[in-house]
This record gives sequence, structure tokens and C-alpha cells, in this order.
Amino acid sequence: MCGLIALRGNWPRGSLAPLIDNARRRGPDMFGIGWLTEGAWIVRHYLTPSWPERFCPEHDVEGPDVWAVGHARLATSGEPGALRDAQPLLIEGMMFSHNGTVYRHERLAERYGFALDTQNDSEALARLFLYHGYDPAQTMEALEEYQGRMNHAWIAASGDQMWIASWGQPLYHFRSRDREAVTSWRSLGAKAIPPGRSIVWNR
Amino acid sequence: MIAALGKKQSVSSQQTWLQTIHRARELEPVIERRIERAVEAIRAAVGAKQLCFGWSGGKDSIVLERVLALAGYRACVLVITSLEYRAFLQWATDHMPPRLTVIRTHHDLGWLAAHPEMLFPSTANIAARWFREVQHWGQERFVKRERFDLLAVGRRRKDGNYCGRDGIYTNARGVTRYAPLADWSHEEIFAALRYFKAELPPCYSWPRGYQVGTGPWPARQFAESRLAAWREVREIEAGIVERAASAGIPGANECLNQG
Repeated sequence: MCGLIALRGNWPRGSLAPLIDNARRRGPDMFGIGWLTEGAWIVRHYLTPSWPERFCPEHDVEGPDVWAVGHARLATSGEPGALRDAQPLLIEGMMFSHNGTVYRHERLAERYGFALDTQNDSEALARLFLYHGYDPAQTMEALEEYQGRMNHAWIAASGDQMWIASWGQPLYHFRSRDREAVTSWRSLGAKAIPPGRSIVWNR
Repeated sequence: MIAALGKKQSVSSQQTWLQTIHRARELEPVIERRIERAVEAIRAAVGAKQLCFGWSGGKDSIVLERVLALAGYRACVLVITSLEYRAFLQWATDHMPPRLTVIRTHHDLGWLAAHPEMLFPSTANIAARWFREVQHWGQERFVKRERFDLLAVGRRRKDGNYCGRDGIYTNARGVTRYAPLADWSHEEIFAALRYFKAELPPCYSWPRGYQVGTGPWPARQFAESRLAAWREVREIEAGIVERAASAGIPGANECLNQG
């Protein structure tokens, strides 16, 4: 149960707040946002107050060329208040946000020889995605071989490419003249991304 | 004719519940019409009002979710603490309704250590306090913030719940609850789950799963003793007992020491 956000294009100041408000409905524990600026990723994580108490992150994401990944987390592994387990994760230059559960993720990591930095089960999936060369289908095939068919969705960004993968957890795509968003909830004008589909954005 | 199962609080045997589930298959020819009548009744009762519902992930709220979806209502709220079973949260992640809002309360191990009387309620008053402080607190927050007129809940008289006259009642805090399934039997709930091909959360395969249902682990009721309750929790998720012992929660250490 998490809220995912992907943004690209022209986003004015204040755009993030309503997106966070919706994302927090699915992920009440913490919020994170990662954005690319001058070729480098910046990521910030925050503990969030109980909905609907107001929450405004210190850093807004705005500008004509936004390239950002956000995540509102409901902790199902680790402690609800442990920011070290917050998403998006930044792993080997890739920003990663995930909605779903990787059961016994330590065993998955052990199977592939991944060294985990957090207690967040999504990290195992992120490393699996890297292992399979950013291929969503191969990653899902490997994950299903490990734990059976489950619902997942993730957003991964590395450099100038972003992969948006829908595998049963909801994702909706909004597009206008100068901006695009993908979110875990349906908003006005957004279309559902069918399960089993991936979108690739190029910056 | 099926001999209906009584109030859930008095039925601790999983075997009895499993027999009830098996007998519920006899309702297959009539459950669709039961659901249709419930949808008609909901639409008549709600009219032009704004309705949301409480979703706990339990069997009754799963049926409630599906019936309300047929009636056109999807906004819902789940209220959780920091004292939930990990397996339940993981299941909920995979099965949450699309328009669910999750509200987490302040209840954690530190709170429980300061309120030991709340551990494994042995009285109806303490059990009711769990509902007041967790579900009712979060539901009220959601209903008032989103300005809903009615909050549908999966309460049923067969569970010993108060459901008000005609399934509708307003509490002292001004929240009007509506129990569309108030007169449904346990067998009808199981028949509806089968009709909807709904998957149940893992708690129903845990010790006394059908008697206890969903909810935070310290709110676990009807165990023979505090130690028996701790043993059940340890069987479900051993890490809970270890963390509780570290936090000084009464009885957790005793359970660990007994092996």
C-alpha cells in the first residue's frame, strides 16, 4: 500500500502538495521525493503526520524540466518511523519507488548475492531490476518464479530514462501539453496503465 | 436447512467455523439474490447522501466492499496502528480497494507499555476502548474531513454488535453508522465470499482466527490466559514477542523464557 509519483516536464511551484495529499492516503508513514538537478539525483525523505494533518515538504519540485520520482510509504517491513527504509531508494545511481510486497526479501537477496543497505523489502526488487538490466518483464518473471504471482508497480529512473511498470498495482498516466505524471490513484484525465504494461520515458 | 452458527465470541473452534464454511455452500443458489436485495436496500437507505465505508480487511468488510461497489460506493478508510501483524499489512497491500485511505494512529509499543491494561482485553470495556481509540477515531477523522453523511460498516448482530434500528445509528460524536449487513448470518457471509471469489487475509488460518478476526495483535481477545495469548502471537509472528519483551510489555519475557 503505497503512493507512487513520477513527474516529467513543466511543473509550477505548488504542484507537489496536492499530489502528496493523495499519495499519503495510500502511504501514511513517510514521504520521499527524488529529483534530478544538474545531472545529479537529490533525494529527501520525511516522516509524515497522520492524515489529514497538513504536510508540506521543505523542498518543492518545480521548473520547466522536472524529472522526479516520489513515494508515500506504508511500512510493511522494518519500523514505520525508520527513515532509513524510506523510498524512493537511490541505488547505484537509480531512483526507485515500489508498491507491493517482496516476501522473505532477505532470502531473495541471498539467492542473488545482493548486499542490502536497508530493511525495506523493495530494495531487493530494485537490485533485481538492476540485475536484469532494467528489463521489467524479466524482473517480474524472476520475482514470480521466486514468490509466485503478486501485484506490483514500480517507477525506476536512471540518468535520462525512467521505467514505469504496472503489474497489478494501480498506476494512472496523465498527460497534458507540457507535462506528464504517473500516480497510484486516478485523477482527472488520467488513464489506467494496464497490468503487464511498461512505459519508458526519455528525458 | 442450515443450523446457523451463533455469536462469534463464543465459537473458538476453527473446526466449527470450517464446518460453517462448508455448510454455506448450500446457500449458493440463493446468495446472488440476497446480494441484489442488499444493493437495493442500500440504495434506498442512502438516497442522495454521501456514503463511505470502513474497511478492515476482515471477511465482513470484504463482503461489504463488494456489495457497496455494486451499489456504486467505493470510498473507504482503513485505520491501523503500529501494532499490526506484518503478514496482514502485506496482504492488505496486495488487496486494498482502489479508493482506500489509510490512517495510522499513535498506538505503538511505547504506548502499550504505558497502558498495560489494554493488553489482551479480558473485559468488554477494554475491548470497546480499542475500537474507540483506533477504528472510531480514524473513521471519524475521515468522515468529517471528507464530509460524508454516512459511514457503512460491516457490523452484524450475529457478532454481538449493536447495529441500531434499521441498521443505522448516530453516536455521541455525530458520526452516523450504517450496517447494511446487520442481519446477515455467518453462513451468508461465507457464501458471499465464495460468490465474489474473494481471498481472505492470513489471520483466518491463525490460532482461533475466525473468533479473533483482524486487528492489532494486543487487542487479541478470548484467550484462556495472558500466557496463552502470547503463545498464539508467538506462533503467528515470533518477532512481535521479542520486540515486546524488549519494550517491557508484561508477559512477553515469560513467554520467551518458557520456550
